[in-house]
Amino acid sequence: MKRKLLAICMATALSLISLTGCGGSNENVPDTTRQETETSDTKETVKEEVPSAGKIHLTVPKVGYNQEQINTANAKEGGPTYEDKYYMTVTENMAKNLPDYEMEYVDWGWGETLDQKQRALFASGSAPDIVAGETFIPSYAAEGLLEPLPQEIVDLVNPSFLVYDDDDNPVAVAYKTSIFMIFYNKALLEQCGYSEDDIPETWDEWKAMSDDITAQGKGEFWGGGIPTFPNAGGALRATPFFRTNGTDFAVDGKINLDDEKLQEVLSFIREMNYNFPAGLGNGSDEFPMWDAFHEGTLAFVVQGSFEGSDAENAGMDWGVAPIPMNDAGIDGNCTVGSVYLAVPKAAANKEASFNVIKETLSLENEKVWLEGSYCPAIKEIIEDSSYYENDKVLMMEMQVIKDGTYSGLATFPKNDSSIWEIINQNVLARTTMTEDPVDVICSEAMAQIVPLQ
Amino acid sequence: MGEIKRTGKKEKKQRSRQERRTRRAYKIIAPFFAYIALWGILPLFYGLYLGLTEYNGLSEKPVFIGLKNYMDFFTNAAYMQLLWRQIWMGAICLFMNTILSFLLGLALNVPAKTRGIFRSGIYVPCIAATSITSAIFVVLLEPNGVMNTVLKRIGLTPVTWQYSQFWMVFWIMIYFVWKNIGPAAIIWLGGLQSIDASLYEAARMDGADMFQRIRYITIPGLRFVASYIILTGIIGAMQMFDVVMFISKGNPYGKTDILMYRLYRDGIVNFNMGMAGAESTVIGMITIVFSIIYFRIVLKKED
Repeated sequence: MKRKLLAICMATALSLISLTGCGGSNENVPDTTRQETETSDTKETVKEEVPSAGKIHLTVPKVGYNQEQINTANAKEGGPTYEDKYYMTVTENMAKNLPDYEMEYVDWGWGETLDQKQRALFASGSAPDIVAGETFIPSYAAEGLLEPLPQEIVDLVNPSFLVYDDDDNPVAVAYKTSIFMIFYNKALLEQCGYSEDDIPETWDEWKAMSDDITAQGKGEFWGGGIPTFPNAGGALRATPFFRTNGTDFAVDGKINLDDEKLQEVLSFIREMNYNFPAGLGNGSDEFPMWDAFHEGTLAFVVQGSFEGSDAENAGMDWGVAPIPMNDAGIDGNCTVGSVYLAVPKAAANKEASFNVIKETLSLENEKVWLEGSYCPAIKEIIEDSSYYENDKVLMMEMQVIKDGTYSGLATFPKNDSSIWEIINQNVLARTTMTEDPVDVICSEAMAQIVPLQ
Repeated sequence: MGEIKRTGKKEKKQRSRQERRTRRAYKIIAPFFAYIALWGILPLFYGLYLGLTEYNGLSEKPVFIGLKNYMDFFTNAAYMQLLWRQIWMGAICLFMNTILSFLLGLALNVPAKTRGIFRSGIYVPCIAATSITSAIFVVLLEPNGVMNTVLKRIGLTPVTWQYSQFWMVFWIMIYFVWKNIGPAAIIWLGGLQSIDASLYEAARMDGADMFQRIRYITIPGLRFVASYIILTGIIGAMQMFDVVMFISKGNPYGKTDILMYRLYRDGIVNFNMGMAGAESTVIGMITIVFSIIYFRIVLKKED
């Protein structure tokens, strides 16, 4: 009898251990009311999430901050950043303007981590109320997973902040974005005999200036070029240069590496890479390059408009200019740092979820992004330059947004991430790390990509 | 007659007691079987099934496509290259780890006052988290990192480690051995200390030198320990991926990419679940084949 009892106890203990082992980490702890309840079967005291009576419970990533995130932001040296301020403002406004909603602000990370989490939820049949993301949101749209946005939201924003599904329905909206520019270190340029009047507008001018600075630096400082980090958005930073040369990695969803114009840009990227210390512009980690710029050993960097705020915080004397173009170049750019929100078709509370998205786009919330030189989505700000007339970065950025001469990174209908991985590793990184002929690099990569399309 | 009946009853009683004990034993181990089935066997079969499908984690159900993923795997030169790189890089790491840990085990077996400190010291890298220690390695190898600073100080030309397949494989191997040498050395040491000391004494009296003692006493005495280390080493080498992910990320331009790292990316990053299922089946089968071959060799020697 005792042994039987022991066996039952062990089985119960093991079941409990295995079940609690499946529990999530505390990063998903919501702001909702926690209540301790006692289950009648086991008499075990467990914690359960119980929505407050009469409220609609919504689980949302990248919309607001839970208490833990607020505490972390407030504890930062120098106080909350503009990004923290946006999420904290949204959180406050949600509580004030949508009191019937019980918001569970989850931190599911960003990029791959967020994509993994959301796909796992889709696969398990428990889609979140709102999905967030950047480069992978077009894949969700193409799969037909997202509910079309209400016209009310579509009318609020600049059209280029929307993502469309295959039936041309707008299904996702970004509450902020940014485009690429070149930032320069004024002090370093002056040291090398250049003034702001000399800031390059063409590839040839940029290369000549950067080559000269590198030569003057004698291994102590460098001119800088186009970063091609294979594991940190190399293709993203290179894309504006392809676009200003009238080409892109994909045309109608098909790989375009055999295009001569594209190969011309790759050759330019290779030549400019000599203006980085070896391994700085194409390493597996991008931070040493930003450090070099902030520390004054790199004259130029290509970055989104938010670099203005970062350079300011680093206390450097900096300037900004549009991406230089080839002689017969055209206007073109690529967005970076967009945060798209969308409501899955499988979401339980679609109307409420759209109301939450609409709230993120309110004037009061969106104004916060101006502090970080990010471009907010709503027309009310974009079309009224009084909001940003004193910010040189935003003035430049808003003009591009108004002209509509930019778009997000190209997407491939099938195996999108795998194809981008080949482009980043076997095209961009190989171009800058070796002297292999560019046409050979492109044809070998094409051979790998074509079967994936 | 009565005696036979009593014996029969006694046997029956003993048998039923034995059966009860057996049933009880099964009840005790049943939860463990259930646990293994839930977390080991079911995922294994699901992985085999996924290998026969196309599934990106978004569409509602995996679509059955038969052996297409396997055909793609074996006809794509890139995958075969990754498999081959997994094998040769794994083999180098296994070889170096086995030899160096054996030598370390021998050194630790020499009686010395500081032996305890060294024994603990070589085990520390195994306890430290790979993500943290590898991050330190990466910092050392940065273009302006510690390694290049040292090279400059001694008048040598700095090396752009990240551009070179040779150097990245070299550092991956150094890290792998540094990380794994401790546990293997401790196991070798356990084996060494289990060999009867009188055998060495007798060999010494017969005039055997140190190398002869190692050749004829130590090595045969460590056969089973070696089997364990090499077999678990084969499995570890075929599973090797975190070192590559953290140290080189497959760079330079994919030249240190290996199949296990690709499997992770195909499955968890690129959501090509079908191909990831096929890759895991292939690598699992190859590991089993290598293990069987090794077993055969060991058993043949024993015969």
